[in-house]
Amino acid sequence: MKNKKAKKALTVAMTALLVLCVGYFAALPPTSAWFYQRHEGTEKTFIFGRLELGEDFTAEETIDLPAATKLEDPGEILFDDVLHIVEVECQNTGSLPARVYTTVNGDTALPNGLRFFFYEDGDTGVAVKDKIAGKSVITENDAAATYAALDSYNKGTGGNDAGRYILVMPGETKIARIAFWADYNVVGSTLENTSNVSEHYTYGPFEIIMHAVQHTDGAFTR
Amino acid sequence: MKKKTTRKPPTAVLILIVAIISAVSFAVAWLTIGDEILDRTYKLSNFDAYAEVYFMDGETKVTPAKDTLGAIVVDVGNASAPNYIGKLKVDAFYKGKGKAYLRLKVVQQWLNNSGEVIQSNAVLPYTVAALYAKGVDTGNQAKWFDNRADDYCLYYAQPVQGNNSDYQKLPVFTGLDTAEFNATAPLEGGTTTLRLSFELQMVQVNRYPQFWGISELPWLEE
Repeated sequence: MKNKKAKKALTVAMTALLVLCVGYFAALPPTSAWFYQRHEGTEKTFIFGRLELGEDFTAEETIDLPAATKLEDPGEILFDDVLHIVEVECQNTGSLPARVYTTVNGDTALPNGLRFFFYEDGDTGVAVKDKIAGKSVITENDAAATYAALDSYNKGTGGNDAGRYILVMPGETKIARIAFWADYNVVGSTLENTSNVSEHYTYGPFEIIMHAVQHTDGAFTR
Repeated sequence: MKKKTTRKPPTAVLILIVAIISAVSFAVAWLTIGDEILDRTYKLSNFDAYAEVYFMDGETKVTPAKDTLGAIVVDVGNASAPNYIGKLKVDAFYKGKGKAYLRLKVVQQWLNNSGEVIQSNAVLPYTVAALYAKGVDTGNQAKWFDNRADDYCLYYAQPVQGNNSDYQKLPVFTGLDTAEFNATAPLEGGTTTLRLSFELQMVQVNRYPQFWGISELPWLEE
Protein backbone atom coordinates (compact mmCIF):
# COMPACT_ATOMS: atom_id res chain seq x y z
CA MET A 1 0.00 0.00 0.00
CA LYS A 2 2.82 2.32 0.99
CA ASN A 3 4.73 1.25 -2.11
CA LYS A 4 1.77 2.06 -4.35
CA LYS A 5 1.47 5.55 -2.93
CA ALA A 6 5.11 6.26 -3.48
CA LYS A 7 4.85 4.99 -7.04
CA LYS A 8 1.91 7.26 -7.71
CA ALA A 9 3.70 10.28 -6.27
CA LEU A 10 6.77 9.53 -8.35
CA THR A 11 4.63 9.24 -11.50
CA VAL A 12 3.06 12.62 -10.86
CA ALA A 13 6.45 14.21 -10.19
CA MET A 14 8.02 12.75 -13.31
CA THR A 15 5.07 13.78 -15.44
CA ALA A 16 5.39 17.32 -14.19
CA LEU A 17 9.13 17.32 -14.95
CA LEU A 18 8.50 15.98 -18.47
CA VAL A 19 5.87 18.64 -19.14
CA LEU A 20 8.25 21.33 -17.91
CA CYS A 21 11.11 20.14 -20.12
CA VAL A 22 9.02 19.74 -23.25
CA GLY A 23 7.23 23.01 -22.53
CA TYR A 24 10.48 24.92 -22.18
CA PHE A 25 11.77 23.89 -25.60
CA ALA A 26 8.37 24.39 -27.21
CA ALA A 27 8.23 27.92 -25.79
CA LEU A 28 11.59 28.96 -27.29
CA PRO A 29 11.17 31.26 -30.29
CA PRO A 30 11.63 29.43 -33.57
CA THR A 31 14.77 31.50 -34.41
CA SER A 32 16.50 30.45 -31.22
CA ALA A 33 17.90 27.37 -32.80
CA TRP A 34 20.77 25.68 -31.10
CA PHE A 35 22.57 25.33 -34.36
CA TYR A 36 25.09 27.34 -36.28
CA GLN A 37 24.39 28.87 -39.64
CA ARG A 38 26.64 29.71 -42.53
CA HIS A 39 25.50 32.86 -44.27
CA GLU A 40 25.56 33.48 -47.99
CA GLY A 41 24.19 36.98 -48.38
CA THR A 42 24.04 40.43 -46.90
CA GLU A 43 22.72 41.74 -43.63
CA LYS A 44 22.38 38.37 -41.99
CA THR A 45 21.88 37.82 -38.34
CA PHE A 46 23.35 34.87 -36.59
CA ILE A 47 21.62 33.50 -33.55
CA PHE A 48 23.05 31.16 -31.02
CA GLY A 49 20.72 30.35 -28.22
CA ARG A 50 19.67 33.85 -27.44
CA LEU A 51 22.87 35.59 -28.38
CA GLU A 52 22.61 37.36 -31.70
CA LEU A 53 25.58 38.37 -33.81
CA GLY A 54 24.62 40.76 -36.56
CA GLU A 55 26.82 42.41 -39.17
CA ASP A 56 26.40 43.85 -42.62
CA PHE A 57 28.62 41.75 -44.79
CA THR A 58 28.74 39.84 -48.00
CA ALA A 59 29.59 36.18 -48.17
CA GLU A 60 32.98 36.81 -49.74
CA GLU A 61 34.43 40.23 -49.18
CA THR A 62 37.88 41.54 -50.01
CA ILE A 63 39.97 43.16 -47.36
CA ASP A 64 41.79 45.69 -49.50
CA LEU A 65 44.53 46.95 -47.25
CA PRO A 66 45.83 50.41 -48.25
CA ALA A 67 49.37 49.88 -46.98
CA ALA A 68 51.56 47.75 -44.75
CA THR A 69 52.66 48.77 -41.27
CA LYS A 70 54.93 47.93 -38.34
CA LEU A 71 53.20 47.42 -35.02
CA GLU A 72 56.48 47.18 -33.12
CA ASP A 73 57.83 50.47 -34.51
CA PRO A 74 57.42 53.25 -31.91
CA GLY A 75 57.66 55.76 -34.77
CA GLU A 76 54.63 54.28 -36.50
CA ILE A 77 52.27 57.05 -35.42
CA LEU A 78 49.84 56.38 -38.28
CA PHE A 79 49.22 52.72 -37.52
CA ASP A 80 45.45 53.23 -37.26
CA ASP A 81 45.31 54.83 -40.72
CA VAL A 82 45.91 51.57 -42.55
CA LEU A 83 43.73 49.18 -40.59
CA HIS A 84 40.72 47.36 -41.91
CA ILE A 85 38.25 46.85 -39.09
CA VAL A 86 35.49 44.24 -39.17
CA GLU A 87 32.62 45.01 -36.80
CA VAL A 88 30.23 42.40 -35.43
CA GLU A 89 27.24 43.41 -33.35
CA CYS A 90 26.65 41.03 -30.47
CA GLN A 91 23.27 41.14 -28.79
CA ASN A 92 22.45 38.93 -25.85
CA THR A 93 18.69 38.75 -25.44
CA GLY A 94 18.86 35.74 -23.18
CA SER A 95 19.23 35.40 -19.44
CA LEU A 96 22.78 34.09 -19.22
CA PRO A 97 26.11 35.87 -19.81
CA ALA A 98 27.85 34.79 -22.99
CA ARG A 99 31.35 35.01 -24.43
CA VAL A 100 32.27 35.68 -28.02
CA TYR A 101 35.62 34.41 -29.32
CA THR A 102 37.04 34.72 -32.80
CA THR A 103 39.18 32.54 -35.00
CA VAL A 104 40.86 33.85 -38.13
CA ASN A 105 42.50 31.45 -40.48
CA GLY A 106 42.81 30.42 -44.07
CA ASP A 107 42.40 26.98 -45.50
CA THR A 108 45.46 25.97 -43.54
CA ALA A 109 46.90 29.06 -41.87
CA LEU A 110 46.63 32.81 -41.61
CA PRO A 111 47.56 34.47 -44.92
CA ASN A 112 51.15 35.55 -45.15
CA GLY A 113 51.69 38.86 -43.38
CA LEU A 114 48.08 39.34 -42.31
CA ARG A 115 47.74 40.21 -38.62
CA PHE A 116 44.73 40.89 -36.46
CA PHE A 117 43.66 42.18 -33.05
CA PHE A 118 40.33 41.27 -31.42
CA TYR A 119 38.92 43.96 -29.16
CA GLU A 120 35.95 46.03 -28.04
CA ASP A 121 35.41 49.75 -27.62
CA GLY A 122 35.58 49.48 -23.83
CA ASP A 123 39.26 48.47 -23.92
CA THR A 124 41.64 51.10 -22.57
CA GLY A 125 42.88 53.58 -25.16
CA VAL A 126 41.39 55.63 -27.96
CA ALA A 127 43.51 54.57 -30.94
CA VAL A 128 43.66 50.87 -31.79
CA LYS A 129 47.43 50.95 -31.34
CA ASP A 130 46.90 52.28 -27.81
CA LYS A 131 44.43 49.48 -27.12
CA ILE A 132 46.97 46.91 -28.33
CA ALA A 133 49.66 48.54 -26.19
CA GLY A 134 47.25 48.32 -23.25
CA LYS A 135 47.34 44.53 -23.56
CA SER A 136 51.13 44.59 -23.08
CA VAL A 137 51.84 42.77 -26.30
CA ILE A 138 54.14 45.31 -27.97
CA THR A 139 57.88 44.94 -27.53
CA GLU A 140 59.43 47.96 -29.23
CA ASN A 141 61.51 47.14 -32.31
CA ASP A 142 61.05 43.40 -31.78
CA ALA A 143 58.55 42.04 -34.28
CA ALA A 144 58.98 38.39 -33.27
CA ALA A 145 58.24 39.01 -29.60
CA THR A 146 55.41 41.38 -30.42
CA TYR A 147 53.60 38.99 -32.71
CA ALA A 148 54.15 36.02 -30.42
CA ALA A 149 52.48 37.98 -27.61
CA LEU A 150 49.69 39.13 -29.91
CA ASP A 151 49.05 35.56 -30.95
CA SER A 152 48.72 34.47 -27.33
CA TYR A 153 46.40 37.38 -26.63
CA ASN A 154 44.12 36.54 -29.57
CA LYS A 155 44.18 32.77 -29.34
CA GLY A 156 45.22 31.98 -25.79
CA THR A 157 47.87 29.63 -24.54
CA GLY A 158 45.91 26.42 -24.90
CA GLY A 159 43.67 24.32 -22.72
CA ASN A 160 40.99 26.37 -21.06
CA ASP A 161 42.70 29.60 -22.15
CA ALA A 162 41.22 30.23 -25.57
CA GLY A 163 42.40 33.82 -25.69
CA ARG A 164 40.51 37.08 -25.89
CA TYR A 165 36.74 36.99 -25.65
CA ILE A 166 34.09 39.68 -25.51
CA LEU A 167 31.71 39.23 -22.60
CA VAL A 168 28.12 40.08 -23.40
CA MET A 169 25.77 40.23 -20.44
CA PRO A 170 22.05 39.41 -20.70
CA GLY A 171 20.17 42.25 -22.35
CA GLU A 172 23.40 43.88 -23.53
CA THR A 173 24.56 44.76 -27.04
CA LYS A 174 28.27 45.15 -27.81
CA ILE A 175 30.34 45.70 -30.90
CA ALA A 176 33.15 43.19 -31.26
CA ARG A 177 35.87 44.46 -33.58
CA ILE A 178 38.67 42.72 -35.45
CA ALA A 179 41.39 45.04 -36.74
CA PHE A 180 43.44 43.68 -39.66
CA TRP A 181 46.73 44.91 -41.03
CA ALA A 182 49.60 43.76 -43.22
CA ASP A 183 52.95 43.27 -41.51
CA TYR A 184 55.62 45.28 -43.30
CA ASN A 185 58.29 42.92 -41.99
CA VAL A 186 56.79 40.16 -44.10
CA VAL A 187 55.49 41.96 -47.19
CA GLY A 188 57.84 44.96 -47.32
CA SER A 189 60.44 43.59 -49.70
CA THR A 190 57.78 42.79 -52.29
CA LEU A 191 56.13 46.19 -51.87
CA GLU A 192 59.45 47.89 -52.46
CA ASN A 193 59.81 46.20 -55.83
CA THR A 194 58.29 49.00 -57.91
CA SER A 195 59.26 47.38 -61.20
CA ASN A 196 56.42 44.92 -60.71
CA VAL A 197 53.24 46.69 -59.63
CA SER A 198 50.45 44.24 -59.04
CA GLU A 199 48.18 42.80 -56.40
CA HIS A 200 51.03 41.02 -54.74
CA TYR A 201 48.98 39.53 -51.97
CA THR A 202 45.69 37.94 -52.84
CA TYR A 203 44.90 35.15 -50.47
CA GLY A 204 41.67 33.49 -49.77
CA PRO A 205 39.18 32.75 -49.01
CA PHE A 206 40.16 32.77 -45.40
CA GLU A 207 37.61 32.73 -42.66
CA ILE A 208 36.67 34.90 -39.75
CA ILE A 209 34.75 32.66 -37.38
CA MET A 210 32.79 34.06 -34.46
CA HIS A 211 32.16 31.62 -31.61
CA ALA A 212 29.43 32.25 -29.05
CA VAL A 213 29.57 30.19 -25.88
CA GLN A 214 28.50 30.32 -22.29
CA HIS A 215 30.57 32.35 -19.85
CA THR A 216 32.71 29.51 -18.53
CA ASP A 217 36.38 28.66 -18.95
CA GLY A 218 36.70 25.59 -21.13
CA ALA A 219 33.35 26.11 -22.84
CA PHE A 220 35.39 26.91 -25.94
CA THR A 221 38.76 25.38 -26.76
CA ARG A 222 40.80 25.76 -29.92
CA MET B 1 2.23 -25.23 -13.12
CA LYS B 2 3.75 -21.89 -12.89
CA LYS B 3 1.79 -19.11 -14.49
CA LYS B 4 3.89 -17.02 -16.90
CA THR B 5 3.42 -13.31 -16.31
CA THR B 6 4.87 -10.38 -18.23
CA ARG B 7 5.70 -7.41 -16.06
CA LYS B 8 5.21 -4.01 -17.60
CA PRO B 9 7.85 -1.44 -16.68
CA PRO B 10 6.40 1.10 -14.32
CA THR B 11 5.18 4.28 -15.98
CA ALA B 12 7.20 6.36 -13.56
CA VAL B 13 10.42 4.75 -14.75
CA LEU B 14 9.60 5.47 -18.40
CA ILE B 15 8.79 9.06 -17.60
CA LEU B 16 12.00 9.36 -15.59
CA ILE B 17 14.06 8.11 -18.55
CA VAL B 18 12.43 10.65 -20.90
CA ALA B 19 12.93 13.43 -18.36
CA ILE B 20 16.61 12.56 -17.93
CA ILE B 21 17.16 12.58 -21.71
CA SER B 22 15.46 15.96 -21.94
CA ALA B 23 17.49 17.36 -19.09
CA VAL B 24 20.76 16.07 -20.56
CA SER B 25 19.86 17.51 -23.96
CA PHE B 26 19.27 20.83 -22.28
CA ALA B 27 22.71 20.76 -20.65
CA VAL B 28 24.44 19.68 -23.84
CA ALA B 29 22.74 22.47 -25.73
CA TRP B 30 24.40 25.04 -23.52
CA LEU B 31 27.77 23.53 -24.22
CA THR B 32 27.37 23.58 -27.97
CA ILE B 33 29.49 26.20 -29.71
CA GLY B 34 27.68 28.54 -32.05
CA ASP B 35 29.73 29.67 -35.03
CA GLU B 36 29.36 32.38 -37.62
CA ILE B 37 31.70 32.25 -40.59
CA LEU B 38 32.66 35.27 -42.70
CA ASP B 39 34.66 34.55 -45.85
CA ARG B 40 37.27 37.12 -46.76
CA THR B 41 40.09 37.67 -49.25
CA TYR B 42 43.11 39.78 -48.42
CA LYS B 43 44.75 42.04 -50.99
CA LEU B 44 47.70 44.37 -50.85
CA SER B 45 49.38 46.22 -53.69
CA ASN B 46 52.52 48.24 -54.20
CA PHE B 47 52.89 51.34 -56.39
CA ASP B 48 55.23 53.18 -58.68
CA ALA B 49 55.69 56.81 -59.73
CA TYR B 50 57.82 58.88 -62.05
CA ALA B 51 57.99 62.44 -63.31
CA GLU B 52 58.10 63.39 -66.96
CA VAL B 53 60.08 66.57 -67.65
CA TYR B 54 59.93 68.05 -71.16
CA PHE B 55 59.71 71.24 -73.22
CA MET B 56 56.84 72.05 -75.56
CA ASP B 57 58.54 73.82 -78.48
CA GLY B 58 55.43 74.78 -80.44
CA GLU B 59 53.76 71.45 -81.14
CA THR B 60 57.00 69.55 -80.67
CA LYS B 61 57.69 67.73 -77.43
CA VAL B 62 61.39 67.93 -76.59
CA THR B 63 62.77 65.59 -73.97
CA PRO B 64 65.96 67.01 -72.45
CA ALA B 65 69.04 64.93 -71.81
CA LYS B 66 70.09 64.51 -68.19
CA ASP B 67 73.66 64.91 -67.08
CA THR B 68 75.44 62.39 -64.86
CA LEU B 69 73.88 63.96 -61.75
CA GLY B 70 70.37 63.71 -63.21
CA ALA B 71 70.04 67.44 -63.90
CA ILE B 72 69.08 69.26 -67.09
CA VAL B 73 70.34 72.59 -68.38
CA VAL B 74 67.74 75.13 -69.42
CA ASP B 75 68.09 78.28 -71.47
CA VAL B 76 67.12 81.30 -69.42
CA GLY B 77 67.57 84.12 -71.97
CA ASN B 78 66.58 82.98 -75.47
CA ALA B 79 62.82 82.52 -75.72
CA SER B 80 63.14 80.81 -79.09
CA ALA B 81 65.52 78.10 -77.83
CA PRO B 82 63.90 74.62 -77.69
CA ASN B 83 64.98 74.28 -74.04
CA TYR B 84 63.89 77.76 -72.95
CA ILE B 85 62.65 77.64 -69.37
CA GLY B 86 59.31 79.18 -70.35
CA LYS B 87 58.56 76.01 -72.32
CA LEU B 88 59.27 73.63 -69.45
CA LYS B 89 56.54 71.28 -68.25
CA VAL B 90 56.49 68.59 -65.59
CA ASP B 91 53.88 65.85 -65.19
CA ALA B 92 53.61 63.26 -62.42
CA PHE B 93 52.60 59.67 -63.17
CA TYR B 94 51.66 56.96 -60.70
CA LYS B 95 50.06 53.55 -60.65
CA GLY B 96 49.20 50.85 -58.11
CA LYS B 97 46.36 50.20 -55.69
CA GLY B 98 48.45 51.07 -52.68
CA LYS B 99 47.34 54.32 -51.04
CA ALA B 100 50.10 56.91 -51.04
CA TYR B 101 51.20 60.54 -50.92
CA LEU B 102 53.14 62.23 -53.70
CA ARG B 103 55.60 65.07 -53.62
CA LEU B 104 57.82 66.62 -56.25
CA LYS B 105 61.23 67.77 -55.14
CA VAL B 106 62.57 70.66 -57.21
CA VAL B 107 66.23 71.63 -57.09
CA GLN B 108 67.97 74.33 -59.08
CA GLN B 109 71.49 75.70 -59.34
CA TRP B 110 72.54 78.99 -60.84
CA LEU B 111 76.09 78.91 -62.10
CA ASN B 112 78.26 81.77 -63.29
CA ASN B 113 80.36 81.52 -66.42
CA SER B 114 83.16 80.01 -64.36
CA GLY B 115 80.93 77.11 -63.38
CA GLU B 116 80.59 78.21 -59.77
CA VAL B 117 77.25 77.88 -57.99
CA ILE B 118 76.06 81.39 -57.20
CA GLN B 119 72.58 80.58 -55.93
CA SER B 120 70.32 77.60 -55.35
CA ASN B 121 67.51 78.82 -53.15
CA ALA B 122 65.38 80.97 -55.42
CA VAL B 123 61.86 79.64 -55.89
CA LEU B 124 61.16 79.83 -59.59
CA PRO B 125 57.73 81.18 -60.60
CA TYR B 126 56.39 78.13 -62.37
CA THR B 127 52.73 78.00 -63.26
CA VAL B 128 51.36 75.20 -61.11
CA ALA B 129 48.43 73.14 -62.32
CA ALA B 130 45.73 73.27 -59.60
CA LEU B 131 47.63 75.24 -56.97
CA TYR B 132 46.52 74.82 -53.34
CA ALA B 133 45.72 78.35 -52.18
CA LYS B 134 47.15 78.93 -48.71
CA GLY B 135 44.61 80.58 -46.44
CA VAL B 136 41.75 79.76 -48.80
CA ASP B 137 41.87 76.01 -49.31
CA THR B 138 41.59 73.81 -46.26
CA GLY B 139 41.99 70.11 -45.60
CA ASN B 140 42.76 67.61 -48.34
CA GLN B 141 42.41 68.88 -51.89
CA ALA B 142 43.19 67.49 -55.34
CA LYS B 143 45.75 70.28 -55.69
CA TRP B 144 49.48 70.87 -55.36
CA PHE B 145 50.61 72.54 -52.15
CA ASP B 146 53.74 74.60 -52.77
CA ASN B 147 56.09 74.05 -49.85
CA ARG B 148 59.30 74.79 -51.75
CA ALA B 149 60.23 77.65 -49.45
CA ASP B 150 60.60 75.11 -46.62
CA ASP B 151 61.77 71.88 -48.22
CA TYR B 152 61.99 72.35 -52.04
CA CYS B 153 58.86 70.22 -52.47
CA LEU B 154 55.35 70.49 -53.87
CA TYR B 155 52.91 68.08 -52.23
CA TYR B 156 49.82 66.62 -53.80
CA ALA B 157 47.38 67.45 -51.03
CA GLN B 158 45.49 64.18 -50.80
CA PRO B 159 46.31 60.48 -50.97
CA VAL B 160 46.38 58.92 -54.42
CA GLN B 161 45.28 55.43 -55.34
CA GLY B 162 45.30 54.15 -58.91
CA ASN B 163 45.19 50.76 -60.51
CA ASN B 164 47.80 48.16 -61.24
CA SER B 165 47.81 48.39 -65.02
CA ASP B 166 47.84 52.04 -66.17
CA TYR B 167 49.74 55.07 -64.98
CA GLN B 168 47.55 58.01 -63.94
CA LYS B 169 48.75 61.48 -64.95
CA LEU B 170 48.83 64.55 -62.72
CA PRO B 171 50.21 67.73 -64.36
CA VAL B 172 52.44 69.73 -62.01
CA PHE B 173 54.15 72.57 -63.89
CA THR B 174 52.39 73.82 -66.97
CA GLY B 175 54.55 76.86 -67.72
CA LEU B 176 56.39 79.81 -66.19
CA ASP B 177 55.57 83.39 -65.30
CA THR B 178 58.32 84.77 -67.54
CA ALA B 179 57.79 88.41 -66.53
CA GLU B 180 58.36 87.63 -62.87
CA PHE B 181 61.20 85.30 -63.76
CA ASN B 182 62.99 87.99 -65.74
CA ALA B 183 62.48 90.45 -62.91
CA THR B 184 63.73 88.24 -60.10
CA ALA B 185 66.15 85.68 -61.51
CA PRO B 186 69.96 86.29 -61.23
CA LEU B 187 70.41 86.56 -65.00
CA GLU B 188 73.45 88.86 -64.74
CA GLY B 189 73.55 89.93 -68.35
CA GLY B 190 73.11 86.46 -69.79
CA THR B 191 76.25 85.02 -68.24
CA THR B 192 74.55 82.54 -65.92
CA THR B 193 73.42 78.99 -66.49
CA LEU B 194 70.51 77.26 -64.77
CA ARG B 195 70.54 73.56 -63.97
CA LEU B 196 67.33 71.88 -62.79
CA SER B 197 66.56 68.59 -61.20
CA PHE B 198 63.15 67.04 -60.39
CA GLU B 199 62.44 64.03 -58.24
CA LEU B 200 58.95 62.60 -57.73
CA GLN B 201 58.58 60.76 -54.42
CA MET B 202 55.74 58.47 -53.39
CA VAL B 203 55.24 57.03 -49.92
CA GLN B 204 52.63 54.88 -48.16
CA VAL B 205 50.01 56.99 -46.37
CA ASN B 206 51.33 55.86 -42.98
CA ARG B 207 55.06 56.12 -43.60
CA TYR B 208 55.78 59.78 -44.44
CA PRO B 209 57.14 60.48 -40.93
CA GLN B 210 59.77 57.78 -41.45
CA PHE B 211 60.67 58.46 -45.10
CA TRP B 212 60.08 62.20 -45.41
CA GLY B 213 61.04 63.19 -41.88
CA ILE B 214 57.92 65.25 -41.21
CA SER B 215 55.43 64.65 -38.43
CA GLU B 216 52.61 66.52 -40.14
CA LEU B 217 51.53 67.01 -43.71
CA PRO B 218 52.39 70.63 -44.59
CA TRP B 219 48.98 71.61 -45.95
CA LEU B 220 47.32 70.40 -42.74
CA GLU B 221 49.64 72.26 -40.38
CA GLU B 222 48.03 74.92 -38.23
